Amino acid sequence: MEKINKLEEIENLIEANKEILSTMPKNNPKNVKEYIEKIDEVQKDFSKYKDEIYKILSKRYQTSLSIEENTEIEDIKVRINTIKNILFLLSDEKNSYEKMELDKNIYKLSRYYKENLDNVNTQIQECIRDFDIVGIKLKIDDFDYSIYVTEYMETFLKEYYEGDINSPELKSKFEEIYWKCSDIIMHIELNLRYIYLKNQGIIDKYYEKEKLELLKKWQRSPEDIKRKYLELKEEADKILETDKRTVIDALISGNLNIKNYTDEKIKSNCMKIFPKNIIEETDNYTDIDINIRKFLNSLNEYKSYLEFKFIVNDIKNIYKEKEKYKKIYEETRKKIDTLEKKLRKLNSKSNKKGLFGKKTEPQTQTIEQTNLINEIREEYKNLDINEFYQKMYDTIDDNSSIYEVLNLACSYYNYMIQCLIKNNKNITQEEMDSKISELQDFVNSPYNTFINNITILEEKDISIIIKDRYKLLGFTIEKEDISPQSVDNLIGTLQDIKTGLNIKNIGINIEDINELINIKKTLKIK
Amino acid sequence: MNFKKENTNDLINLYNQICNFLGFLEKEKQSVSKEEKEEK
Repeated sequence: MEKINKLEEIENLIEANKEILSTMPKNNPKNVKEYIEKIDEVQKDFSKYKDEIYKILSKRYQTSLSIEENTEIEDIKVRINTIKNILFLLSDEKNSYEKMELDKNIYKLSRYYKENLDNVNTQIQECIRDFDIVGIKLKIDDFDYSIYVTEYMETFLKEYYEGDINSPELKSKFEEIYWKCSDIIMHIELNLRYIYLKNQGIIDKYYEKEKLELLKKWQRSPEDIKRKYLELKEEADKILETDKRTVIDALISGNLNIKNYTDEKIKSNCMKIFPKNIIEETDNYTDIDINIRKFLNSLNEYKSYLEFKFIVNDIKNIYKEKEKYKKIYEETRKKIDTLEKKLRKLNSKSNKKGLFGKKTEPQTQTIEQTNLINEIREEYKNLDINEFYQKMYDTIDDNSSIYEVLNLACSYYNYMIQCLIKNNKNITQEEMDSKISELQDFVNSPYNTFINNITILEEKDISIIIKDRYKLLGFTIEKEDISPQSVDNLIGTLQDIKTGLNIKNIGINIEDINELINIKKTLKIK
Repeated sequence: MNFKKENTNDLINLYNQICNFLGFLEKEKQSVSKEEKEEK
């Protein structure tokens, strides 16, 4: 193997070897054998060169990535999550039904009915655990809504305590009962709701006690805790966007497109939104950096507001008829109580034992019981939404802000589901859960400004408010730039500038990163 | 051999050239072997 110390020499060597090979004869087996031996020899030499270069490039790549992620990131995420759970329990918007998450689990129970028995049993299990958490251990005596519920839950509870709710025995029990009562899941749903209402006093007290203990432990008011939560979120964002390791990973993986963050691109983006002469004369973006961030935050807030405006409008319409809902929850509950008392009487009658303590005939449900249960089911559906309307009546007034209204909405799973379906009949369960999560993130953003200050009854053109504000800060924008059709473009430009400035501030060299990207591509590193 | 002082972009170019050349050699070897088998 010849010694090489210049890259050019290798290139020349390649040409020289190609030349040698092209002149070698291949007209007989002996020559062909020599030809192939020559190829083998050249292959061996060049494979060694290839391996040598591979090692050098690979080492350079690994060395550049040896920067550790800021350890504060994990720590702050844990703190944020802890406070999020605390705020959930401290929430005044939610009743105990929501805090137990029984609203979600019972909704999913009634929905999974159409999909998958394993999911149904999982949801029943979740509901039983919800009660367990608040100190109510469910027994078979609690499941007496109908003879079918009792029969199914006898097997269910046995399997539950043995740790296998997907056992063949339970599946076969379901099969057996289903043909006697195809509404069995609905009966279980109603039974669980009944258990909640029966124990509502105890459950409310549990959450009151939890709340007092938390406030005692933290020695702060709920408002202060919320403020701390928002501060931490803002701090987490700052740390993440200036963490060298996080940013480099995003650039190398392509999640951030490096072409958008060169000096030329930052400048050309700035020229789209500032007077050209100001940008041409400056090399230092420190002055405009903070305004770009504020503008970006306002636009993101506006975009989210547009996305969830249909909820604000829906609640505005409900609010117009506010007086209708003055006592709606209690009224619906009374109806349910009356109907359930009737059901209990009918159940006792049909469960009556014979003279020797044995039931004389095989038990079936009467038409009267069936109809009553169906009626109760409709009232419980009404109760779900009336609970929200009642809360709205009690807490929303003419001075309520958009924030307060959206915060209330995303605390009520059943209201959100109804509103989302009304807005889009084809929305899937996953999409709904995702949208609710998005709304919760929006409502809990530390950067919100106008939704905290504009009331639901004010008819203001928010895009003009934003445009005027940022024009005063020197941006060259018009109302059309903030229209629903164009706002994404403007957000994209501002985001690219912000990221580009972050990259400069943390001292990442774009050329160096380009090299790493090329190494990754060339060596096919995953 | 001492490639350590070379800059990254040059090394990447060279690596690609060597890979191409190795590919060429392998193709050549297989083509010649195939021709020989056919003649037999």
